Amino acid sequence: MNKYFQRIPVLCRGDSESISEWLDRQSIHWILFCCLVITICGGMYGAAIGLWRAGLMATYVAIKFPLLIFLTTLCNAVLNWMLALVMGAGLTFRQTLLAQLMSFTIATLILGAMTPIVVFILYNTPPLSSGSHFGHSFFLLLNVVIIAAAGFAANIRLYGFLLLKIGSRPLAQKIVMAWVAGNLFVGGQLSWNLRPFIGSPTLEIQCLRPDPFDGNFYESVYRSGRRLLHNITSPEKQRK
Amino acid sequence: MTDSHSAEQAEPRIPPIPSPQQQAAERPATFETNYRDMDNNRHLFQVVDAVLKRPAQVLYEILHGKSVAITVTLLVIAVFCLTAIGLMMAGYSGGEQFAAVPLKVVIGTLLSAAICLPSLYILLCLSGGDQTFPQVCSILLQSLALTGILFVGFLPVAWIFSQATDSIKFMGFLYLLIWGVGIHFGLRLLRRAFAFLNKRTMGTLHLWGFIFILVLLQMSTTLRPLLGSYGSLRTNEKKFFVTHWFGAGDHTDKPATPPRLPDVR
Repeated sequence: MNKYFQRIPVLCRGDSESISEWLDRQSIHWILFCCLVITICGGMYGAAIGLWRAGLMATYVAIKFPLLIFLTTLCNAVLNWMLALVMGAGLTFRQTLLAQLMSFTIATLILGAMTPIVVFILYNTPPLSSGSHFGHSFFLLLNVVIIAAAGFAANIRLYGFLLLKIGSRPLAQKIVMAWVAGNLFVGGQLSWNLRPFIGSPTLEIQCLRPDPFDGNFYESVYRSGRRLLHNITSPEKQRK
Repeated sequence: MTDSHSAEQAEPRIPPIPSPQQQAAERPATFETNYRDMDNNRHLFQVVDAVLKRPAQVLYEILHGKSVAITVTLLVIAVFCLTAIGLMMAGYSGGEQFAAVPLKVVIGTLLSAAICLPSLYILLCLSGGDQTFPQVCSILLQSLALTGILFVGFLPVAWIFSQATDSIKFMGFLYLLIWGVGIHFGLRLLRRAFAFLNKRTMGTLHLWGFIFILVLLQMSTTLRPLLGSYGSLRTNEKKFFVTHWFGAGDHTDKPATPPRLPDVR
């Protein structure tokens, strides 16, 4: 176990020789260790997000946050492998899965490291009982920024892993773009199904909404966009 | 004779160009030249001297020498210096603040460092840093010790102004300025140390420095009042530092007056 813990800084540094060796080696232990790190660090960050609302919500989100990562990885595993093959990367299924898992491990490590700061900010955020929704909006925005930054850093490393194995810069770029697009597309929908994560301050605390499979993320975005456009174009009707 | 004498007077004397060895000797000491052990001079004042003049020696001790002993010494220096600035800040209001403010300053600063330590380690790793977690912890303590030492250097300045003015806003600004200078040099040392050890500029440390400053500023609001009289503010009210500083009427020294209730008789 200690051997795998020592790999964490090496993974974050993107040390090419070691990572190349891990990608080639047929070891299930390293995959399981990455899953363990995602579960612990993702769970910690999820708990910090949910704590904004209540302890129960923190427990729900601590379970759902790593689950979202695993489901996204699993749903896209075959597709990402095929995309890599079609583009001429010549990676095995295990290598594509491991590369993505390692990238998610880096993202959750960053999120885990940011957890104390998020909890501290949460401690200083005006509670819902104060009647102000400023805290909710601020906390929502803060988490979007932190998760986006962690995702960005993880994808930079993913690009590094691929460049290491493939050796061609344009091809590695294409594959990362394709994988990120797929992960965002599926991840957006899965996060919709597993909602709420931060939750609306006016709705009750739930593990899942009563209609998790009713509608999808993109329909919701489309409806919100239409509503916004309608409000802008006909403000008088809204006032009436 | 006279011609040559007048020629000498007319032409300015050009100093000889120093050799590369002379240039190197005259150049101010850098991390590279000072990166060696402290020759068994590890007493408190010698470490203070080294933190100010030869920080690379302290860095060497952390990485190669008696790292636990030097870390404890750095912690003692940081705590002592933060207590000193805390006492000076407490002197503005006096009373119970003499006990509360030094405690708040020490705990607040160390807690802020502890909150930001995991992100420092991970961001450092992402930049290619090769240091272990305990080493990062000790180097952060070195930069906190330097910050604290600089605070102590500012104490006479703070005392003069605290005797001369009654304006809590001015004193708040002054202490903020002092903290700003101290933190600037502390973070600069941190960046230089990691850049030297890893032979590259660690870009993510700028981001981490920004986060650390925000946490410190928020901590100063969470642990308020640091300058006003003890119990003069409602400290259980949660506020962001921006709201606290720029909010009206919350940063005066006067005790909070209860709101006047309407007469319903």
